[in-house]
Amino acid sequence: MKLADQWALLGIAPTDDPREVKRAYARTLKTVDIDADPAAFIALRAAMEAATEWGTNTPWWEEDLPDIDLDEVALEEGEGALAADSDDDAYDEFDDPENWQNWRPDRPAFAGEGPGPAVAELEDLLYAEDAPDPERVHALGQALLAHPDLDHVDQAVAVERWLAEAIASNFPRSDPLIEPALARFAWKDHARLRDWAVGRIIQRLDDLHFRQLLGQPHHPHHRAFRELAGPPRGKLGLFEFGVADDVSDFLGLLNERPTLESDLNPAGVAWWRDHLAGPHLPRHFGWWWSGTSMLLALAALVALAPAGGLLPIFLALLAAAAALSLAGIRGWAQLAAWRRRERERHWEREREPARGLAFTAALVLALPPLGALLPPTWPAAALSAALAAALGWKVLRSGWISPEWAEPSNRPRVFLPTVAALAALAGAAQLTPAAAAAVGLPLLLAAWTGSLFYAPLHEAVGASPRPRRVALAIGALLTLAAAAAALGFTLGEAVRPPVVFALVPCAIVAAHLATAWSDVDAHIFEWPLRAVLIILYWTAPALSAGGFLAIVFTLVACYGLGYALIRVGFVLKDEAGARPI
Amino acid sequence: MIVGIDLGTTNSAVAIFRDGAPVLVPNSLGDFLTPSAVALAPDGSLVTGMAARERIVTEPLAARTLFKRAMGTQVRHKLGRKQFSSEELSSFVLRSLKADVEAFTGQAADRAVITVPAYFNDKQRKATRRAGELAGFTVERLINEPTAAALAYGIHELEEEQPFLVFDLGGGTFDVSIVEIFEGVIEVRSSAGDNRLGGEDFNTALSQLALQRIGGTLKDVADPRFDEAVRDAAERARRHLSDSPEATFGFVWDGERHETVIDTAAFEERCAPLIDRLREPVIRSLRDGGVKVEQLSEIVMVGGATRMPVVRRAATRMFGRFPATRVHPDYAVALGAAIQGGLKERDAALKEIRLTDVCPFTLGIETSEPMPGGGLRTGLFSPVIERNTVVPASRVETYSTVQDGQRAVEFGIFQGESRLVAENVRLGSVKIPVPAKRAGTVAVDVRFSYDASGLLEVDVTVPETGETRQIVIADEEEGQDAAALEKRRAELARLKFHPREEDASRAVLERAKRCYEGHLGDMRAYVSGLISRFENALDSQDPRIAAAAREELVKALDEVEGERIL
Repeated sequence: MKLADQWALLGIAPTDDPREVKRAYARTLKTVDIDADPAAFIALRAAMEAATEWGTNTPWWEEDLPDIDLDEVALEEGEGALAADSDDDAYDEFDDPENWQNWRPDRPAFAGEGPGPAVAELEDLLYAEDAPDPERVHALGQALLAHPDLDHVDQAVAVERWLAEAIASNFPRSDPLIEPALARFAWKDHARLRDWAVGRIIQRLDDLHFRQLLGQPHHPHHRAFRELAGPPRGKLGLFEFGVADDVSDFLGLLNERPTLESDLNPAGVAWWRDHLAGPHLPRHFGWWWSGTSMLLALAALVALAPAGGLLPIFLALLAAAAALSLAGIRGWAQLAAWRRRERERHWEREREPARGLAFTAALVLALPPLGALLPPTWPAAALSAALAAALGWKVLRSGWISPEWAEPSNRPRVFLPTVAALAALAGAAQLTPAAAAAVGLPLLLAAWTGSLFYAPLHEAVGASPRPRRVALAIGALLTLAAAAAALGFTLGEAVRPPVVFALVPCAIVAAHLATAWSDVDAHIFEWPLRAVLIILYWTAPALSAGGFLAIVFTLVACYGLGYALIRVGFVLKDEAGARPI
Repeated sequence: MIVGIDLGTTNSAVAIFRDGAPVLVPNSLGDFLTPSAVALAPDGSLVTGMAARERIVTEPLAARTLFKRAMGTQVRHKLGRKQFSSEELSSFVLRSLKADVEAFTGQAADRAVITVPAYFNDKQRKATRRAGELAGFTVERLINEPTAAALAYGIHELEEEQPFLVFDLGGGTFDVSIVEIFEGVIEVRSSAGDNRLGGEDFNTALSQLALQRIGGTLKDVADPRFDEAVRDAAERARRHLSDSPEATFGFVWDGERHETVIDTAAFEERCAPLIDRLREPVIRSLRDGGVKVEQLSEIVMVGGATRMPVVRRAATRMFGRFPATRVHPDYAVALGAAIQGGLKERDAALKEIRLTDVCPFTLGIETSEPMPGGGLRTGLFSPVIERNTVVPASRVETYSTVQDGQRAVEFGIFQGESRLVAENVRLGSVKIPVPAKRAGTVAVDVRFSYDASGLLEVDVTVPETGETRQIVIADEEEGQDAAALEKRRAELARLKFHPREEDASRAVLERAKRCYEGHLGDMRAYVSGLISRFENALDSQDPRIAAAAREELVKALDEVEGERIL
């Protein structure tokens, strides 16, 4: 409706005096029956509000717009694009966090002393040259919030306004103020839709939690965060292609978690933005590279083997490689994105352990018996050892199986010995179908039942107090181990020496118990112990007979099973959610 | 005739508009306040009001109060062997109020204006309306409690030019409204509140404090009888604290009397967290109304809990001045409701008065937005009618599709202030087909219309195809129509109700029984004698003897335990 019509509805000439508008509104309202004719009331109300807002001014939508020649505008824009750098400076000023962090909210004026000095002191601290001591910021904030004058509503509103804006424009310096301010002003209970400052603070709270996760070395975004928060790097190493992917993912994440930007080093961010804008390796190049090279290695291995029985496998592998290539980078990218999302989900503790575990366990446990069906060859043993070492290195380092294993600090302790042991065992291993069945089937059964009951067990365990949890864990694992051992004895006539196979599950149980009981970080003794036990268990049957492909399968199985078991251990151990795997 | 009813958490009141002024209607006991309580009498009939309230302590399984707190939920309250919803129990109270009006005026009272806390959500409002209908009323209007109080206050202050603030702390809910009067228009500018804060929470704080002081294993007792005895003791002590610096908190449990003395300072310290919660709605309403405390002409305190010195002191600190005492905190809401009834009936005395209220919460729909890394971020709340919009109101927002080839759009309708719909109240949803095109190219208009009683209507239109869908938000779980309501009303009407003329005797008798349980030794024997004497008098079937005996018993009980509290 035009403003003129709205004045007509009110029955007065345009005026800038809101009192007169109100009087006219009241007069007209008496002639309207609100209940019977709500539309008339709504129109009248709108007229009153518009008249109060615009008075005798012309609202922007009724201004006469000059005729614009669209072609000319397009041309100007085209020219402008060439000189964009200088033209966009005005906007850059807004975009640059440097500038908008320098913005200061107006300090409210307080009648008399009031909370004024406390506010001034806090302001000086927040906007000081050097980063202030967080404890002092917290203490001053508490003092301000506890000020007796804040009982008065007007004072409280003024302080709340200032504090919200000061906090929102001052991350991370203002982080220590968030908790006390939230508690005092109940911002979370009444998240305000229109208030940018409070919205940003609540966002910050979320982001701070995320930031805490980022600090853990195993988080999928940890590497990128470290890159961006640290000093800018001069150049990227030849094989560091994964880093660029991580960083570009993280920069995309900033749209969702805007306040994290304040935790980053602007120079580092600028360097990476420049790098990503310039020529660099395609996304997920690492996956391409490692996938293709692994396939090629396998293919070469199979080609080197004598005997024609392997030809179909070789052809199948070639076809798979071709299919993967044809699927193109998009497929890879989607796969990688899916993987990352899945991993993030795990980090957000929305995991679905039972299904994933069952799948991994079934796959892993089916592999050795399958491998055992292939014909044994001696020359392949040496190659298997080399391949096992290479694959083991690559897979472990990729962090694909367990993010922890990607950590360089874990290498000497965990996976160098693991890789060495794998290589040695793989070279020496032999496997007969009977032995594989004797060991594989019972464990398959045990893992299957275990994973089936895993989710309910996990729930029961998670909800119980600690002693009960430990008891439950012991019970569950003993049952599994007993089942495996019993079946191993029954079917394991061909297996030498059977005692080993009975003892190893018990040792695994012992490792679990140690994990469940100890509060110390499990890495130290649990991982090597478990890795060795698992590898022993799986490669022992191969001592009597074997085939190189069986050993390849065995290696994959070792990692998979090891990871699955370790996850069970962590879930059982995970008390306060301190370790989200 | 339209009656105005204040359906409170602990007490209700009813008023009518007569001869140009609102008049309070007394109940069968002659009180203006009727406890919002329902009980089963020993003979299996349903009794409401004072008798039911007294019965809660002696027979906690056969009596219920505070059911307003579960209004609009599926909670079932057990009463003996029967189960009732909050709206059914409320309908019994409304029914007795209806009978009071009919006895008072001699005319049928079948239309009502019922008050609800401003911060009641849509579901709770619907339930209140249904309670009125179950009691046999045509509910003409639901009016917000602080708005009603503002009417009762404002009708005498029509010359007032500055806005005033209504601070309504009832038994179970807290509301704040900023109201402005100009040229006979009483305009609510903003409302805010807390649905779960009221006098009862102060009782809980007091009883926790007292039990802690008494010590022993008492605080671990889990028994409804114990809870009610403690609650009753807390209520009494709290009333006492209103006019004396300390009060005795005492009750009998397991044949033993437990007592402790509570002083004001300790009580206030215990209440500090509750007092803190009073501040937020005040600030929000002031901010939304664009008003500063110093511009307020008056602070109008209503609701029984505002009589507590601790609350008055907190208000004084908050506003830097003493609150007004010109309206009666217990009656203002009912009187305001009666005035609204008069407005509705176009009473000549109110011809020059208009009242406009606001919608105290934001109404909107669920939206999604694309994330930078692909995928959608769902569950975001997009407001259509912002809170504190004057009602009736009608607003349109335009949304567009988020996926290529999308064939339909479903709008979840929500109410609340959070950015995420998961934290808001879901009211319903509406789905509309759209032509399959690229994401973002199909527009859908969503119109929300909100009427003065708080009924929301949502119209969705796709301008491109002219397709339209409409939904009137009704309670999803219930989904009942007029026939089902009628059936339920008939079912409830078949229940046996305690005869109104015996209410007074029943109430005194129940009070005597409670008094008996609350004392030991000689005093107990004395009360027992009083009860026997009164029952004998009732047996005589002579109303005059009964009335005289009742008066005598009341006097004796007043001596034993101090005056009856409402």
